[in-house]
Parts: sequence; C-alpha cells; structure tokens
Amino acid sequence: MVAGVRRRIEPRAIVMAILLAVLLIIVVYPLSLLLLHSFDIHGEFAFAKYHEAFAKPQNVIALGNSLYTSAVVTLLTVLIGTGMAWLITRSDLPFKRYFRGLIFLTFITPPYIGTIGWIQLLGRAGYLNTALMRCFHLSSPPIEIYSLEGIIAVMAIYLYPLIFWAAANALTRTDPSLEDAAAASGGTRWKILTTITLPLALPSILSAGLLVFIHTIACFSVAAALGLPTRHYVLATRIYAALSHYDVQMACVLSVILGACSGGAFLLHKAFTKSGRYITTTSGSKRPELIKLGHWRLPVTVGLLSFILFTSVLPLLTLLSASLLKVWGLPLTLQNMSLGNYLMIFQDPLIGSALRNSLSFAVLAAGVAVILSFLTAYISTRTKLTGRGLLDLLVTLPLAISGPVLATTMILAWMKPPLVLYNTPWIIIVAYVVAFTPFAMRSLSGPFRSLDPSLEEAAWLSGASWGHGLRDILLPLLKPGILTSFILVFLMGMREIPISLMLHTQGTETVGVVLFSFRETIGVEAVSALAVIVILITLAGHLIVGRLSKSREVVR
Amino acid sequence: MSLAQTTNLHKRFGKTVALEEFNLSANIGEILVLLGPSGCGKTTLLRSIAGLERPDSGEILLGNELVFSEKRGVCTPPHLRRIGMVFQNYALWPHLTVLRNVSYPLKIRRIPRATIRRKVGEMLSLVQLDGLERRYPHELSGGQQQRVALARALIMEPQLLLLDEPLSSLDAKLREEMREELKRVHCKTGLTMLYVTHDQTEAMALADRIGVMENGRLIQLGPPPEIYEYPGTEFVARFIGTGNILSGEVHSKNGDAVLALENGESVPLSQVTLPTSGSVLLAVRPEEIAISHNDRGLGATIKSVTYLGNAIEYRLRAGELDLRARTDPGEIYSEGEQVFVNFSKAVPISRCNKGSHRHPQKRKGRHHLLIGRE
Repeated sequence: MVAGVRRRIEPRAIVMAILLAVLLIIVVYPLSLLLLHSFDIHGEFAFAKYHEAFAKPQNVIALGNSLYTSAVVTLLTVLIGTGMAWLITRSDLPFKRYFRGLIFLTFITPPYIGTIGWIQLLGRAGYLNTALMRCFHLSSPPIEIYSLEGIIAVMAIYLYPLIFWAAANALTRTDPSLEDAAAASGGTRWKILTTITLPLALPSILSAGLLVFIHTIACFSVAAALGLPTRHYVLATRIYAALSHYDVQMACVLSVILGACSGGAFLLHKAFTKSGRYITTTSGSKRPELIKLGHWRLPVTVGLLSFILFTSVLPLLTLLSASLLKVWGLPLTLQNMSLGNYLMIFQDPLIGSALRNSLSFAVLAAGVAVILSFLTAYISTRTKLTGRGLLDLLVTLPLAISGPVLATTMILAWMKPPLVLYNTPWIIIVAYVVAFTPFAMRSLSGPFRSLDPSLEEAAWLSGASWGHGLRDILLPLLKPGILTSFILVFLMGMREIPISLMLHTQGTETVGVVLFSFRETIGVEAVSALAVIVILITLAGHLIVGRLSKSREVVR
Repeated sequence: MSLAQTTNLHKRFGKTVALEEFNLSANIGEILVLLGPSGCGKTTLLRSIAGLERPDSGEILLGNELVFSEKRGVCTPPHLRRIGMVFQNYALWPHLTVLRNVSYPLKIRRIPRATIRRKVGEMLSLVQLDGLERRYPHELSGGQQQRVALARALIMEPQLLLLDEPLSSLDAKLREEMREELKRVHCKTGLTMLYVTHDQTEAMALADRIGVMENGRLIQLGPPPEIYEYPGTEFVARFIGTGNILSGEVHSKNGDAVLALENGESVPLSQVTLPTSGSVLLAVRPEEIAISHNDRGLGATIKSVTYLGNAIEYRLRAGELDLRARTDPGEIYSEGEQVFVNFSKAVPISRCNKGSHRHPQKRKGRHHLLIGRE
C-alpha cells in the first residue's frame, strides 16, 4: 500500500558541505596558521614574539598611528558625509543630481590612484605647492602631503562617499510623517533634526562609520605612498616591512594585532547593521518637504561645489594632464602634449603582462567569488540547514581581514606542502577570492532578499527539481544582480594592491604592483596614463552596473 | 476514500507551535477549507503537505503514497508530489509570458510540444484567459494574474490542489467573482482542493467541509451548516458567526429552567432540553436574538444601531453583558432605549478548546435549546 519509502540525500546539504570544506581550506586554515605561528617559539606556545613586537617603539607608534588615523578619518567622514547627505536629501540645494554624480565619481576613484594625483598636486614639487610658494613668496612648500595628516586627508576624501550613501539612504527611507508628527507637536526645525531625523538615521551612519574605520586601518597603499617616504608607519606598512625583511613571524604577530582592531570594529559594525535594519521605512509615496536654505543657499552651494570639485575632479584632471605630458613638470601647453605615454603602455612588456595578469586574475576571482557568494546567499536565506550561520560567518569574516594580513596568511598556508601555491599566480587568485567574496555577497544579498521565495517554490510544485528551479527561475531573475556583483568584484581585482604586492613574483605582477612601484619602473608620465586607463575601466564597469540596476526595476 | 491524510503532524518554529497533533483527511473530490485566524498554522499545514516545509514529526499520506514520515525518514521533495498550488501572491514568474508560465509544468516533464500547445489552449480557455498568451504578468490585472496562477497549477493535472488564501489580495467584487470561478473549475475538473483562508464567508461559500483551526490544532471539522449551527467551542462560535457567548448556570425554578448569568441576572428558559445542569456556555447568534418591549426576557439597553440595508445591527448592554443582535429592518429601536431580549435559539459549547469532532447526528435535538419564549 505504501510506496516510495526511500531516503533521499538533500542536494542542498551536499552543496553546503562542499562550500564549508572550501572555506575551511581557504579561510579557516590560513587564519589559524597565522594565529598559531604568532605564538610558536621553537614548537612551544609562548608570547615571546609579542614581547619583541611591543619592545620595538616603531611598532607601538605604528599601532598608535593606525588607531589615530582611522579614528580621525571616521570622525571626518561621518561629519562630511552626513552633512552632505542632509543637504542633498532634505534641503532645497540646487543641482543635486550633479552633486550626487560628482560624489559618485569620488566614490569609484581608487584611493591609491587618487593619491598619485594628490602627490602631483601637493608633493614637494607639486603644482599647488609651487603655486602657493610663488604667490606668497615662501621658501619651502607650505603643505606636506607625506605625513599622517596627508594620509588622513586623502583617506577621508575617498571614504566619505560611503557615509554619504548610507546617510542619504537612511534619510530618504525614514518616514517623513514621523517628522511631520514632531512638527505638529511643536518641535523646531533644529529640534526635529537632532531628536527625530538624525537618531533614526544613526544606526546606518554608525555602521557605515565602522566600515570606514575598517577600511582605513586596513588601507595599505595610501599609507605606504604617503607615509613611507617620511617614515610614518602604520600597522599595515609595518607588516609589509616585516615581510620584506623575511620576518614572517613578526608579520604574523602584527597581523594578529591589526586583525584584532578591525575584527572588533567588524563585530560592532554587524551589531549596528542589525539594529539599523528595522528602521521605519516609507512605501516611497510621500516625499519629505524640502527645507529652505534661504540666504544660505548661494554660499552653501558654492562652498559644496568647490569642495567636491577640488576633491574629486582636480586630482583626476591632474592625472589626465600628466598622462598627456611628454615629460612631467613641463608647462601644460599643446606642444608639450602627446599620446606617447598611452602608446608606451601598450608596448611596454611589463605593463602589458601586468594588464593581462590583472585581467585574468580579476575575472577568475570574480567568477569564483560570485559562485561562492551566490550559493552561500542561497543557503543562508532559502534553507534551514544547520550550519548555514557558520557558512555565512566564514564568507563574511574576511571583511575584517586587511590586505597585508590576508597576504601573510596566504604565504603561511601555501608556502609549504601539502599544497604549494607560493610563486604561482594561484596564490594571488585564492587571496582575491577570499578578500572579495564578502563584497560579492553584500551586493548579491539585496536582490536575493527582494525576490519572493514563492517564485522558486512554485517551480518545484510545477515539477522542477531544485537544480531546474535554480536554472529556470532563480538565475534568470537574479541575472542583473549576479552580473553587478561580478563587475564590482572584477573592478576590485583590477586595482588591488597590497595582496598582489606581497604575493607576486616575477611574471605575476599585476596592475596594482606596477602602479605602486612606478617610481622605480615606469615613471610618473606612464603611471598617470595607466591610472587614467584604470579609471576609465572602472567608469565603464559602473556604467554597466547602473544600466543593470535599471533593468532590474523593469522586471519587478 | 481519502486522498490526503495527515497523522499526528507536529511542527514548531522556535517556541511557536504551528501544528500540534494534527490529523486531517481530505476526501477525493471535495473542497476542504481550513479556516482560522492568521498564525493558527493553516499555511504551515498546506506547506507541509506540499513539501515546502518539513514537519517535526508525524506522517503525510498522498493517495497511497507516503510522502512524509519522520519515523521512516521519508520526505519526498515537492516536485515529485504531484500537487498543484496557488500562492497568496500568485508567485507568477515575472520574466516569463503567460504562455510560458502556464506551460512550464509540462515543459519540465518533457511533454511533446504539440500536446503542450493544445493543453495550454484548453487550460487558458477554462480560466477564460484566451488571447493573453503573450502578455507578461505585470501587464495583467490582479484577477487575471490569479487565473494564470490557477491555470499553471491545474495544467499538470495534479492529484491535489492547494490554495493559500488565493483571494485575499483581490477587492471584494473580484473576490466574489473568483469564488464562483473556482467553484466552476472544481465542478469541471472534480479535483480535490485544500483551501486555506481566514475569511469565514469565503469558507462557507466554497467548502464541502470546513476545518476550524486554532493554535496549530484542528478544533472542529464538518460541513458548513454544521459548523455554523453547532460550533463546538467558544472560539469557533466567535470566529464563525461573531456569536454572543453566555456563561452561567442552569437552575430549575417552578419546573422551568433558568439560566443564571455570571452577573447575577437570570434568563428564563421555557422549553428545556439541556443535557446537563450546572455550569454551561451557550452560543447565541445575532439573528437569534429577538428584541421587544413586552416585559419578558432579559432587560437591556440599546447602545448603538447600525443600518445595514437588509438588516439592522444592534449592540446591547444587559447588565455586564454585551450583546449583538441582528433584526429585520422592519422594527427599529433607537439608541438608549430600554428593551427586552429573548433568545430564540442557543447552542451549548465546550469550554475547553481541545479538538473534538462530534457527529451532527448525535447532536441533533439534544444540543438544540429553546430558551425563553419563541
């Protein structure tokens, strides 16, 4: 009577087991090696290396510098980003679209490439410094970019858009009727702003602020470019220095310390993200009434415009002009310009192979990262398998691991058997995958959540197996999201610096390596041309992403 | 003959009980409506039968196939259960046309193209959607989307059709229209349907049998008239007919029975056929309350009057008791008026909410009370 009694193995459980195994190998194994190695003194557990690390004043100063720069950058970006977001979402400021566009341009400019532009402007022989010297008859350049303040300023410029987007989103999502209610009960405009509007947006802003902190403390390239010439170290650059002196254990110890700092910030960030998710949202039908700036409108507009133009457009223009100059430093006239630098880029064997390497590494890493994050997002949002929380954690954990730390773990894990990837391109690709999967995950989880699970369930009830449902329903519907996530990760790979710098070998140099070591290799003019090309690739990528997000709206 | 049967089904979500000791059997060809407030577990039951949710324990039998049994470790995945389902939000695939939405179940079964074309044509004309094959779901009205969802669920000739509040996102007029449509489709196909709703009118209109659910349990199961006339518990009485619940004790006074209410007042019960004396709970429907000025029955004050067109609804207060009465529009009393109420019919109901499905035959006459005057 009773037929079909047969145990079936859940295909999703198999997929999860495979994912967990992969993450154990590429995330957990290298990380635990790092931790173990930092305590390993001739095979015994000891704190000796930590004592040694803290005995060196450079390390203590570097830790202080890391915390100091990150804290100040976080504070600055929160102030700038929130202020701008309020002006652009809630006031009657003109040209909002253009302001948003320019902020977006800043957002997508890789900080290190921006730094090259800033060095050309504010280095000792930089355009701005020489102009200031001429104007005010100074004997030495008035602005010193090779300093902690320089690092702070550049990082703040390239990270405030993160706060801006978070705050602008939060401010447009909060229900304006909450503010109307406050106004109706007699609140003044300032009272409403400080007691209703900002507190509602605060969790989102704080969670973005902690992200800025993590990014700054992890940022290697800017700190190296602006700090190393004057021996201003931060933790990230100390790790690099330790590795260059082949003191792998010191690199491990410093990595653990850096990891502890960013890990703490990461936990806080997660907590805030959770608390911010339940913010009251509007259906989008009612727009908040715009606050009139009155006679402040003109000065605010001019001030904001010049700030944004100065911080986002000026360094890019500098790069563009430098890329066209035959020799850097010549006056900017047409006779001194040519496309020679661009031609050279495509002929230079080093740059050529770097471009090819970056392209292939980025494509491979993006592909794997997207597959990993797609399956993880699927399992964590659509199934109730035990262990999905662990999976989610393992995939997002590398968000808290900065480039130099990650590179150190990779060296430890893949230098010795059983699997030797050191000195091959694969070590870079694996590191990219680990580093970028959290970002792929973040851009994919939105589309995933907005897709009703019943669409897939309807497919199953129509007779489609899990795989067929995935193929016929989920993948086509998520295609824009998947492509977006692929492009974003690809772009991160194209401009990645610390991982490739610490893991590359002859023949596996990437664009990032060439950009970083331009002084010794290709010179200012060629690096500017390369930087312009990277920015153009980035822009193109984001244009496609913009198109994709529009097409996604049509489907819904 | 039963088509779908659940035995001792249990399901918890964390600490919330969604299904408890759930035993239900749907007969071949019937429309069985599960009725209950939101959160009572009715959707969980549907999803468990479909295979979208895995119960913690128990068994589910479909036809003569065991599709779920915790003990035996059986859990057939949804695509092998031959069940059609209409989702609350329709779950139409936005990237596919009507034609491809409806033909998908056949395509996945690798049925020849010509057959598919013929069957889709038949199905679309059954749900009256001819000519809309090339449209995308977002180009259709709510009612049309509903028909597409129905066609998609029916086209593979499932053994059982599950409907999860399918009409709840339609407006009142369309809802009635679609209800008739569903009945028509049921007539034509003779399909067994398991239908979940929180709307008692919908349940009454559609069901061959209604199962009332509360907190994951099946409280009462029976044909609509039985559920309406003889609610088993206070919960069912309130949920089905916005009934008045009287609680009190039955006494004998000069040979006549009297119901002593908890507030001390008493209602004369002239023709007593109470099975028990002592503490009882009685359900009285609004239309079974008669209002008059003739000095007999329970004294009450009219609190509000609502004109409904075909009837008038009164809210009354008798001592500490709130009552709802519905009368013909002929007699009109006004707010604040002192009146007397009499109950033309009352049904004793169980105090506990544990499910017990009594048979109507056993109850007839015995539980039917006539209280006070006619």
